Amino acid sequence: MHLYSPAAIKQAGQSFHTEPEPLRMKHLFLSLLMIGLMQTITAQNKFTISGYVREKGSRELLPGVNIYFPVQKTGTTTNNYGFYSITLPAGKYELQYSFVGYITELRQLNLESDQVIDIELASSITLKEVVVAGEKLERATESAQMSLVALPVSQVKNIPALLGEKDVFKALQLMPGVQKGSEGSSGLYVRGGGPDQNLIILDDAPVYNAYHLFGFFSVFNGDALKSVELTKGGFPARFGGRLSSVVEMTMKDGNKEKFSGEGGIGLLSSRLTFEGPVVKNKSSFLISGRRTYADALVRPFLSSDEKFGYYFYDLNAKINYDFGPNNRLYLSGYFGRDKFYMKSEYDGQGYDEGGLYWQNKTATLRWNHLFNNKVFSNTSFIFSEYDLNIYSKYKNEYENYSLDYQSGIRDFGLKHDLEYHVSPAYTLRAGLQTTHHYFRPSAIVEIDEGAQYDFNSKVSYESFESGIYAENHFNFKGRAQLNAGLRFSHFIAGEKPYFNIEPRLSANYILLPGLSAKAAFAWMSQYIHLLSSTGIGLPTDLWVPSTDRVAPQKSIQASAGLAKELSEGKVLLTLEGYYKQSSDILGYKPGASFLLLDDPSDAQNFTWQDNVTAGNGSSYGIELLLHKKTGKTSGWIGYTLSWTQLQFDEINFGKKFWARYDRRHDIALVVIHELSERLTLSGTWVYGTGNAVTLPLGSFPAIPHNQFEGFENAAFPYFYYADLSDYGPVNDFRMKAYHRLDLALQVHKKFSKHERTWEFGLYNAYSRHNPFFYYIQNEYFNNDTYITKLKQVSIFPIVPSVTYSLKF
Amino acid sequence: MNPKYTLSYHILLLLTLLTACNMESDVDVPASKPKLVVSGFISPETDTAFVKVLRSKPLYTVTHYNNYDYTVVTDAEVKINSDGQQVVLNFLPVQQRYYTTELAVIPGRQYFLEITTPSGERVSSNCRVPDQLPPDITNIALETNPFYQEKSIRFTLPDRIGSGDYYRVSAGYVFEPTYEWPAWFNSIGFQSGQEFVSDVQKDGTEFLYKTYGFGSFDNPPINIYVSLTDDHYFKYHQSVNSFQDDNPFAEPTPVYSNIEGGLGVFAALRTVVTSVDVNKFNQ
Repeated sequence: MHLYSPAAIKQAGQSFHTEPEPLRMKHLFLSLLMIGLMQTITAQNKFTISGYVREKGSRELLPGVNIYFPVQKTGTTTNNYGFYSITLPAGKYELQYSFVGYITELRQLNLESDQVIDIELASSITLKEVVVAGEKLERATESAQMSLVALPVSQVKNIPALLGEKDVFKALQLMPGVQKGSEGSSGLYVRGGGPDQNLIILDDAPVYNAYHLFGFFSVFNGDALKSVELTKGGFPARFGGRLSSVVEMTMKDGNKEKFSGEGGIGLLSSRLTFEGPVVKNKSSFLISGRRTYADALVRPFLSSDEKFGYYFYDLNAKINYDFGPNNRLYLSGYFGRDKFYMKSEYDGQGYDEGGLYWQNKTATLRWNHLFNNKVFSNTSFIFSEYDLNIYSKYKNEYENYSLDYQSGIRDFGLKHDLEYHVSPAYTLRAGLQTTHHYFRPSAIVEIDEGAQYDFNSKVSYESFESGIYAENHFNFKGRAQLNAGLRFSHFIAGEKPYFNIEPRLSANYILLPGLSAKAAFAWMSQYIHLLSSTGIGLPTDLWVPSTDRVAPQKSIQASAGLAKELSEGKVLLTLEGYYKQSSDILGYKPGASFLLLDDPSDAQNFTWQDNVTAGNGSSYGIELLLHKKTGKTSGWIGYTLSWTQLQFDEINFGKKFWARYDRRHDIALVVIHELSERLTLSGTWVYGTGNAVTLPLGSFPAIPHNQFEGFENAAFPYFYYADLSDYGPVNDFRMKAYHRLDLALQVHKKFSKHERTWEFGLYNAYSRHNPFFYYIQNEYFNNDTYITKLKQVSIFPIVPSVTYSLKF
Repeated sequence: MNPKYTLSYHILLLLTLLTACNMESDVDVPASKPKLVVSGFISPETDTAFVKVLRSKPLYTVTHYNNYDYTVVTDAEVKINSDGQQVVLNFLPVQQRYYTTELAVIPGRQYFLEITTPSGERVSSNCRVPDQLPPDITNIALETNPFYQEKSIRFTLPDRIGSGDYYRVSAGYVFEPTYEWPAWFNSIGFQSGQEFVSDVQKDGTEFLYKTYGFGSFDNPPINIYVSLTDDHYFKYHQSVNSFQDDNPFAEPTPVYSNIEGGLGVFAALRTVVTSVDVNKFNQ
């Protein structure tokens, strides 16, 4: 087996000092930076071990792998591109490379010169081998980062899902501090923040509308993903631009050694992924696609002059090239589209057609460069675009009408990140990012030839969003870790520039072996806003910039907690408390609606700045997570106790009210059990306090003032004696609690060249009628009376599914 | 069907298909009692203060088909206090509301309303009369549209700087009484300018108004009413105006109330009426 790069192995015996120089904190940022740089200067008799960690068989680079020196109690992890670097005094060392789902590799070496050690880890899932006993897989208690959810994609694939459609967002919703909105929705509500406050990035490119099928599924195809990480607090300075969370997804690079693939056929969609080498061990590609086929199934049943249907598809593609040890290039892209269409033809006399489609496109060109064995850099050129198009055409002998409405956002960005692994005690990360946003809240072309009406209107904004950051990672003798960072952010749209300084701090102190205390503090700014009619991720939601009238949203979040390793590090228990205060968050004035489906031409009168109002939010809570990522039985238990309140001067008459998705209790239980090599049984059970809604309690008449008192006819305004609803306070009524059990049984079978899996699933196994929405209905009786009732609509009773997957 | 709307029809159809297996069930709601609904306005420029008191209808209870009307409360005790003076309002059956001509409405003074009923209901409220009359309207001009043979009036309402004001502006024809007909009033809307405006974030603004067109011949005088109101008056009317009950995608629109224990409004205003003789402009 190829263990080290041959050139990197040198043998020598030399005594060594294992402890890094002690550090003292003085002035938080500058002093720490200076000390870190001093380390570099004094590190003359130290040598650097660096390299890449890959998956055995595919040579896929692995991010987040732990490299640990048990004797010295120090270590590091691989970055997003699988690279690691650590500088130690000369001497003999034993080191471990461990990662969830992979067999831990042990190495011994005499360090007397800089060494490059590239490692390949074998998957414990494919080999069905037991993970080396006694080795810790998680070093979460030894990392300064807190509030981070790293979800193995392989685990996502084992979790039961609606119609068998595996969805990383729905798996993230099962984590404490992350909640779903309404039934079936993929939207993420993180620590009281809305889906608009999540930065969703795929290979460095932001994805603006991450949902298919009106929010029921996210656009991310698990087959194409290598890693999924959600940060809900303690944000490192490299992240900025949103208040509540960062969902960072990395696409697989593609198998560098051989062609392989996987695919699946489900009730809703089918998927297929191919990957393989372009130039063996130098370059590889991955292409992965998914499409629904309900439209194709319905088509034979429609008459020839009538068409209507709906579909979505998405396509992920990536190619990379290895130019040697110091340079690597990646080009990746995503394209996905949802389309709903209808067309009726009238015996050659004309036609009537309409539809809507929305699409995301992202493209990222990344260049990894090693300046030397301590300095790693990544430069990304980023493109992202989201478009919504609604069209309608009508033509006959007398009329010829067409309407085309478009809205969207387009980004071009440049991002540069630098990592300097100075010593085991100090790592510096710094970088900058700048993005040109082009917002197009509405563009309409409406032509009515009969009425000689020709209307053309476009509302657009351009803006620049930039950030520059530095993160200082300190490791105090393996006993404490500190990440002190600072981000400067800048935004300009129109006349008024905005500038913010965002300090970030996270710290970890090891109380006992396997038990650590953590704390973090983060200031965040958000310069772009999502106007949503419903909060469920409809394609009509609009991204708009901060303007002279609409200020950026800001938040301060403090969190603290404990992390405890159990069962020799295979199980992690974390307890976190947080408090988040947000200001200038956007709310909608009473009566405001941004839904343009009914009559898109209304958009010409659309003045979003008049319909929004700024307010404050506060949320706090406690989150408990017991997570076992490997073994025959894996899964987690998550519990969240939280409160989220909002206050807007122009809503609820200035009084505080509960956010719609304020959730006092939220529980998720996920169990994946391998019954045998052939059978995997999994189940999830979720419980959540009902959403807070505003409910009409009664009706009463409007009795406005008659300004023309004295005139008997006194022409009252039209709304005189209008029936009004007595709503009571905003969001004062709770919908019924939500709970649901999902089950899935996977039957695997291995053949010589491929492996297939049948999955039989049950969504909502005990058919709980969970609330989707409430409405009011009158029921009439024979004796000239009626009663008004509050009705609950539930959409998913027990839903069975069957999926066939193939891996080759 | 307008082609624009066929689209939303089909989207609804799609959503219905998506949720084809939807299930409905009843939800228990907390019992609510009828509340007292109050509408009372006081102004130094009128000699009579009126207060109307009704009862709201709770939802989720059995109701008669023909019961469209709200019950007027006729047996309440309605009192207005200010500066040690208390006035009890009498019920006027013809107008189905309480009134008094004995209340001295003084600019700058605060007034307290208290209503009790024999069944033990009690609501209260208070408001403060604006110190000043509204500013005079300026730049009154007549505009003629020869194509449509119509006229309209333009004018400007100059907001006072630094006072934090709310206005209601309206206009209409005044027909003098004849032996057959009483005085008659027909309101005219504005094609530019809003009926309810506030100078919040617009302090010192000149609000421009233009009425809709009206006939070109022998016009009766047009009265322009400008009221300077308190914030309760403004917020109540604004929220009544923007009330929407049928758009499930819009945020609910709660109607403003400053009635403690009930619904409705008790507010104060100052009004100036400017009469414009349109025919004089013709000369």
